[in-house]
Amino acid sequence: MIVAGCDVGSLTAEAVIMSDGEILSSEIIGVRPKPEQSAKDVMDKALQKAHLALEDIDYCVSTGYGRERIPFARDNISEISCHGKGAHWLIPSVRTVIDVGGQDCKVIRVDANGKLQNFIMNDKCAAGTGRFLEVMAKTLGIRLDEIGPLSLAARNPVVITNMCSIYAQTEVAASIAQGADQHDLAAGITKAMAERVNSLVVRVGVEEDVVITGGVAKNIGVVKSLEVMLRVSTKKFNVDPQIVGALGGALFAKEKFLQK
Amino acid sequence: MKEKATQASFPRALFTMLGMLSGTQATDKEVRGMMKALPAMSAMMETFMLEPDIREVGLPFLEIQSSYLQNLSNAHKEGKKIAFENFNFPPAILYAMDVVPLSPEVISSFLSIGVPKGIFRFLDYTSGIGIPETMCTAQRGGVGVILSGLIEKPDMVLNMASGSCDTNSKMFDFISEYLHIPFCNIDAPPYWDEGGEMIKYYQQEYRKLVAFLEEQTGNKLDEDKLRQCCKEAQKQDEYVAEIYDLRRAVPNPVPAIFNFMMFGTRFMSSGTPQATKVMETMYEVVKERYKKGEGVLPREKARAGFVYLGHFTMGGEFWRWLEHNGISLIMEGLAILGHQHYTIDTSTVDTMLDSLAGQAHNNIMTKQIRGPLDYPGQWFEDIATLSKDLNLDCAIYLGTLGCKNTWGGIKVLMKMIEEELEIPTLIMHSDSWDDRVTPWPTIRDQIEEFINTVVVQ
Repeated sequence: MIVAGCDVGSLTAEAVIMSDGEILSSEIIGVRPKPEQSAKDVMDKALQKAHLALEDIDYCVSTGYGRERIPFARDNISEISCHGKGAHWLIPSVRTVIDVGGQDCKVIRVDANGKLQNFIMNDKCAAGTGRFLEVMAKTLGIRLDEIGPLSLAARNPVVITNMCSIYAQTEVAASIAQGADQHDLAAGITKAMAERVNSLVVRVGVEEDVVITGGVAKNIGVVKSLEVMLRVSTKKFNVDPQIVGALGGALFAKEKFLQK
Repeated sequence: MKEKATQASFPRALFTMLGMLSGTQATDKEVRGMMKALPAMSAMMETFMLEPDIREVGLPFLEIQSSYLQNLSNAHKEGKKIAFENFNFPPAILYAMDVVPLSPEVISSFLSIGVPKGIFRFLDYTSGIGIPETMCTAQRGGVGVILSGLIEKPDMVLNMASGSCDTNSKMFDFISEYLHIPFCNIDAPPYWDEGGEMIKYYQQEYRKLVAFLEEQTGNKLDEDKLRQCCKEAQKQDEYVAEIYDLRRAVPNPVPAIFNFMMFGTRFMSSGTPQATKVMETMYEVVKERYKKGEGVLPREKARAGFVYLGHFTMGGEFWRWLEHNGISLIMEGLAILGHQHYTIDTSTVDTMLDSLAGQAHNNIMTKQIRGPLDYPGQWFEDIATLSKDLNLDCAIYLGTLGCKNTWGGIKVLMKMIEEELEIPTLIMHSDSWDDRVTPWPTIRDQIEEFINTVVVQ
């Protein structure tokens, strides 16, 4: 039995192919204008890596913003369920999943069986999402993946107070104009980002073990800041944290195939 | 912002439209035709008129809305006074004294449900004259309509549900000062003792209200007219109590939109024969469904309780959407809390005033969402009783950002609900009249997510 999960988000799309409880392949791409195209492209890449064809997939579940428009998916399931499922499969001791995606942020609580207990999502703007970091990287004139490592060498992080990405960008621009050090700016940005996420986490409460999924989990600066604020050490996956949603989709696909 | 160009046409257009809709005996086909002809109001028509059972109640309900606006428009021509008052105060006493009620929350809700982008420009207008955005949205929208001159200005201010919410109460002061009109403030002590000193104090305050109304209108309180209004209000409350009993059925036979029509009718026209007609028709529809064993949904995915408000935009899609998604609306705070089992003693003027005071005193914003969160029979205890009685599967909070009293206690309330009632809860950081805070599709998605992933597993 070969199953797949396909997660089409706002900025990236991911696919995971599994067989017999093992991940055969996974892929991540930037999204195309249409979710159908994003899904096709990312799945083609994952299939190619696993030396498979779409016909070989017995069941596929889609998730993410574009989940209802994936032609080859036989079912679609929400990201919250998929992230909870994927994280619990990877680390069964997990109780709190913090998913920081491109344009949203979710905090999910699961019980010992991986059953969803509670969740909260950002509901207003780009504060606390990957888009915030993208805007800031552009303002600093660096690549997105440089912000985290740069922040670790900061001596005096700048203080960014505003929740709104646009106003925060203005604050960063003002600090640049005052000659602030780039490391301090990067640390100010990652700390501000972590504060936005933390404000959501405290609303549902933290129970260990805690994991971070989504693209922002790869930003070491945000992760470190968040760990300090939450006073926990987050558990790390042995796979790319960005594929956890698609992995959850594949796990649901397996269950659904067996139920047939 | 000057609105003078549309000043004369606005209320006339709205009540003409509502009157036209309510006066029709439309068939399904005709309703669909009207929806095509009036696309801006098609969502509202779908909510109140499309389904025959709903239409039976929806038409007299729209008629009440039309009359409410028409009364305001004609008040001064007919020599009547208009009172700016609280939505949660049963207006029977005003009708008994020929005073025309004007509740800003009622006006906000008309517009919010009836017109695309509802009260947005009126909220902006109030910001422009210095009313903070952190005050009650439901009040600000209606106040914007009134102060921009689109509706007749009030002649007096009556704050009769004092203590319901600090910012809500403050608006009455403001309107009185801003329009230079007299103000009567009914006071309530900051504690609760059912049947004790507090209710007696509150009942005494009602005498002050009557004296004030007599002074402002030049009329003496007519005992027979008050009795007539109280008898109508009593009939309405009996229907509400009967409908409450039928909510216990699984599947629930009470359509979601009936909740809105129930409290809307009460807030607009308690004590009038029109309101009795709406409540009676509503009860007949629900009773028939119950007798046939028909629920609103053949299978309830979840029996949801909204501990405070619903959502008042997009033509009332909230109520339709819940049912389309298998969610049975068993409890909407405004429709249930404080509405049931009140007897109005019509023996004398005093007993009637005491009964009306008791009723107002028990309303959601005057009782459950007031003062400390731990006095007996307050928000949690009432929700707990209802939750067990109506077999709720979850509790959801929707409110407005300006509602300090609910925000002050909601997290504590929800924690108590989770721990003591063992049902999941959801708190939405949205505004029930302003989709610019959190868009309705976002709210809808999160409720759906909550129901599908946390409530139903």
